Amino acid sequence: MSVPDEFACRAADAAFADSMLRGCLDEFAMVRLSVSGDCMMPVLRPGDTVVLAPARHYRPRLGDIVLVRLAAGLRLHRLVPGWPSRGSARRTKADRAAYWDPPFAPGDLLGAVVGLEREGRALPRPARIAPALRSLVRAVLRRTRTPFRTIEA
Amino acid sequence: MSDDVSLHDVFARSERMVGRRIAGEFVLVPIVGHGAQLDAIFNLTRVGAFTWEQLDGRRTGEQVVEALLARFDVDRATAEADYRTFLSKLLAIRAVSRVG
Repeated sequence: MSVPDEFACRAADAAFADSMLRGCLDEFAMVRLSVSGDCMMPVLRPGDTVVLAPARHYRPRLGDIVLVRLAAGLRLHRLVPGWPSRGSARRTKADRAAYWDPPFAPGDLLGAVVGLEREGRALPRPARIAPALRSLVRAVLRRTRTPFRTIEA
Repeated sequence: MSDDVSLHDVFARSERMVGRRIAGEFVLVPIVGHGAQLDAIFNLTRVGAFTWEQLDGRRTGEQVVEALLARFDVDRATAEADYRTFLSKLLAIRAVSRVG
């Protein structure tokens, strides 16, 4: 028996983090996570702490920032309208991304952001509709923008 | 570091840290406000989890070591040294407090 081997503050690998996060969302009414990455700027900044409510307690609505499990890993992205004709009425998207995330299974929508703290201070809960619309319009504009053409008489 | 811990001391688990068995692992999860802080989860193995459960604010270190000797195949000197090291780590992360 050796304590250093028996007591490990182990660095979380992706699979461990995933199962632990799911377990904690099952076990606790709220969980807190630090934000990394800037794809949700300016609403979420690196180092912010978000308070998440599990999907079983709070049914995420369009425009909410949600914790979703994608093939690329766990993401805090915004829940936005998808294309029902393509089999997904709801998709997720980073506010600063030009593209929607891949479709997700209903069970992979793990929770929603219900609180936000920055530098130790509680901030108002992130808005839903206006940032979602801005993000969608920005993405559509990026994808449809074409170079100007000069038409000569 | 383990010099801070005497076998005569009595320790109690902190209210700001809860132990849970999640996904087959025993973990200590810090509680902040009403939420579980997931950025600093501590993963305990079998011996750590057993020791954690013994820290009820009534048993001395000597009694916990006796329980370890009864439960695991280990000699007294190793169990005492490991207990002291383990408690020092728990004190460092404020998972336990000394109550006697």
